[in-house]
Amino acid sequence: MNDQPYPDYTYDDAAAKRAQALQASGREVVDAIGGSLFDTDPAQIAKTLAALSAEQQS
Amino acid sequence: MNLTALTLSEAADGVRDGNHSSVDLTQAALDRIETINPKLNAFIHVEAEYALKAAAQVDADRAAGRPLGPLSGVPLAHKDMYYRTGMLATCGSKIRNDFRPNVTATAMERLDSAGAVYLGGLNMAEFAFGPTGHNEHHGDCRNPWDTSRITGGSSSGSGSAVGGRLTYGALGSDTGGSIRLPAAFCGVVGMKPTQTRVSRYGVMGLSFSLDNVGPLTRTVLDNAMMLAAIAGHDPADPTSAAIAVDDYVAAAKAPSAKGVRIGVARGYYEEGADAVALSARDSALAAMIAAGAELVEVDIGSMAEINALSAVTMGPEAATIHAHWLREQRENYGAQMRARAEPGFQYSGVDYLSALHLRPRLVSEFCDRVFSACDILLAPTINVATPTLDETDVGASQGFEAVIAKLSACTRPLNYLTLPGLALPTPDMVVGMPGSIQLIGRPFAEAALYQVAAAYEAETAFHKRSPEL
Repeated sequence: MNDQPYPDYTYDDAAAKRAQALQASGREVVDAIGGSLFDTDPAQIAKTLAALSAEQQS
Repeated sequence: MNLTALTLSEAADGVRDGNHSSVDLTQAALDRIETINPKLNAFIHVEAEYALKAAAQVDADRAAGRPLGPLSGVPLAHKDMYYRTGMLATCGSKIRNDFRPNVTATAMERLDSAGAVYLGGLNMAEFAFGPTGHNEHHGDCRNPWDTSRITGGSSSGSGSAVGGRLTYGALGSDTGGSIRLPAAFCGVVGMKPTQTRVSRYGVMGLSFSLDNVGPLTRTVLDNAMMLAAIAGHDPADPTSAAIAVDDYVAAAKAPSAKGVRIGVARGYYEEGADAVALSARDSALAAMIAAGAELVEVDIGSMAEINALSAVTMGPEAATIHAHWLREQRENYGAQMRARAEPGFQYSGVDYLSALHLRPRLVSEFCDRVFSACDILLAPTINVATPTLDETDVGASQGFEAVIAKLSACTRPLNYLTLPGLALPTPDMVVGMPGSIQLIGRPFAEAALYQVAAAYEAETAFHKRSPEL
C-alpha cells in the first residue's frame, strides 16, 4: 500500500484505512470466485449483454 | 388552468393540439421556479431567456405547420452535468463553478431534436458522488414533500424539481442509485436503464463502468417518452449499445401485468430494511396482484460479492478522473467527496481489472438464477423512511460510510450487474413521505418494465398526488 500516490500528496489516514478494507473485501471475493481470467475477452461484457438481450427476445 | 400540474405527455399533447403554447408552458414553469425554488433549492441556474426563445421557436414551427417532435415544446431541466456548448455546467462543484463546455451532450441534442425546451441546470451532489442531496458549495437540496428531509442523491435537484412540479421531467445520472434514490425519496418515477443503453457523450463521468443516464418524471408514460428520445447507439460514445431500441412509449401506453411473474426479492433486499420500507413494498405487491401479476418468491441471497466488486470498480475510476484536481486543489473539494475519492488511489490494478473481468460471469449467473424464476424482480428502492437533512449531514465524520451504505443498499448492486431498474412510488406513504419499489429486468428489458409499471401505476394513482408547497 503506497503512502503517497504522488510527490507531496499524503493520504488521509481514514481514507487509507477505508481503502485497505474495501480492497481486502474485493480481493477476498475474487479469490473466492476463483478460476482463471486468462481467456477473458475485453469485449465480454458487451457480448454478454447482447446475448442476454437476444435470449429475452426469443 | 394550472399548466404546471400537467404531466409531460399532457403538456406535449397540449402544444401539439394548440390548447396551450410552449411559451405558456415555459413561462408557467419559470413562474413556479421563481416562487418555489427558494424553498427547494433544486436549480443551480435557470436559463430563462434561452428557454423562452426555444419555446417561441416551437410555437413558430407549429404555426408554420412544421412537424413537431414527441416532446414538443415541453420545458425540461437536467442535473447540472449535461454539457451544452457555451452554457454553464457546474457539476455541483466549486471547481467547475464557472465551467462552460465546448461540446454538447448527445442526450441534450436528442432531447432538443424531440422538441424539448431547456430550462436550466439542477442541483446535485458534488461531482455526483453522494446519496443524500447535501451540497456544501451550492446549498442542500430539499424534499418537496417535507423540506426538512433529504431528496436523495446524487440527482437531488432532478428529484426535487420533478416532485415539486418545477419541471415536467429531468435527466439524472446513476452510478450507484443516483437516479432511483431521488426518485424514491421525492415520489417520482426514475429509470436507470441498462448499462450502455444511453450515450454518455458530453456527460460528466464518475465511474465509466457504472455510470448511466436516465430520466425522472411524474408518470411512467412520461418516463418512457424521455428514454425513447435519448436511447440508442451513438457513434460519439462507442460504448453505447448497438442493440435495437424497443418502443417504450407503446409499452407504457399498453399497460399490462396480467400473468407476469413478479419475483419478490427475498434475502438481501429485506435484511436490514426498516419495517416501514417493507410495509410500503407490501402495499406495492398488493397493487401488482390487483393489476393481474403473479407473485413468486425469489431468494436473492447475499449481494456482498457484487457490492465488494462494485466498490473495487468504482474507486479507481473515480480517483483517476479526479486525480489531477485532488493534487492541485484538494481544498476545493467538499470533505465527503474527497474522503470517498481518495481511497481509489490505493487499489491495485490487478484487483480493479479482476473485478471488471468477473463482471460478465456474475451478470450471467445472476440473470440465469433470477430470471429463470420470474420475469421481473421487485425490490424496495429504499430501505429506510426518508431521513432529515440534519440526520444525514455527516460529511466525512466518523461513520459516514455506514450512512451512505444504508441509503444506497438497495440500488448499488444493479450498477455492477448492468441491469435496468425502474423506481416507482408506492401506494402507501411512509410516515407522510413517499415510499418506493424498483422493478428490475434483464438487460435491455426497459419496455417490459414500462408495460408492467404502467399497469401498476393505474392501480396506485400515486402520480395524481402533489406535494403542498
